[in-house]
Amino acid sequence: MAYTIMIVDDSETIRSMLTRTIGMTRLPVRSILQAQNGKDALSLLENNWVDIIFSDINMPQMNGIELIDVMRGHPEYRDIPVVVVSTEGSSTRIRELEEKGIKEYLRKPFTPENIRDVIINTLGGWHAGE
Amino acid sequence: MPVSNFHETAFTVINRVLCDGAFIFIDPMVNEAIPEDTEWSPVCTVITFSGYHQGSMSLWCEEPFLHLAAANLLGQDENSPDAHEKGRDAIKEILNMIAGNLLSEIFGSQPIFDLGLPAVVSEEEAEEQHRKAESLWVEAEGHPVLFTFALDE
Repeated sequence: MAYTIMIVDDSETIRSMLTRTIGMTRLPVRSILQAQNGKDALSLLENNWVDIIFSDINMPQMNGIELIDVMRGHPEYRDIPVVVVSTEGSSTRIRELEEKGIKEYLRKPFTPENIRDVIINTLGGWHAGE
Repeated sequence: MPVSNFHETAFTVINRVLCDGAFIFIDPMVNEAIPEDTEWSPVCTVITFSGYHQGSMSLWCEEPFLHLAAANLLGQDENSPDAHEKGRDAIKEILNMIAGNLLSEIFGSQPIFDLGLPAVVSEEEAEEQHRKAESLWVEAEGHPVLFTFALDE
């Protein structure tokens, strides 16, 4: 099974960084979709099946929290796991995100091993050699 | 407001960010190796923060280090035409990561901070902003890098 992953971030730098690091995990990846904000992400979801979303919080037009809110209210998107990627270190803010229903929180900087663990913990079911 | 163990804490955080995020290894810089003002032409990147405390941080490094950061962080070819721009993007993100991690390392995980957008500024502007700052020099893969941290009074 190969994963389809979506990265939602207004920074091209972060999207490049995440794409590069995901490539280093050696997990089977079918494709990586990129969106600049929550609105773009919802447009891509209309025509693409996505296994997991890595999203920033602060973005113009539609931020990460608004994206999660819309997804949780949508019958086809509500079960897609969302991993928030941020430098945020405040446990208060992280608790708020967890209450919103995020699956995991990935703090920057991250290593390929961190990303790999998050994907496997979230989606499960992949073993070396599959 | 002085920060206790600033040098040790900042070194630990910068090391973690550069090592985990960009596969760049650092060492403390001995005084004799710190470049004179006339010996180097740094690019200065500044980020401000507000919330529990207000202040700013800056990262000073030369062009070759920016190219190394872009190559390691983004997979950018050091000789590509946009290496200059990508180097700046990479160093801004590195400073953003240092800032987020250092604030919680110094003040704990309870306080809430808001980070501004990192920006490349002129050397004069950065010097003005960081006249009273704590500072730390490190050597990153042979490149001198200066980090400063200042809390507003």
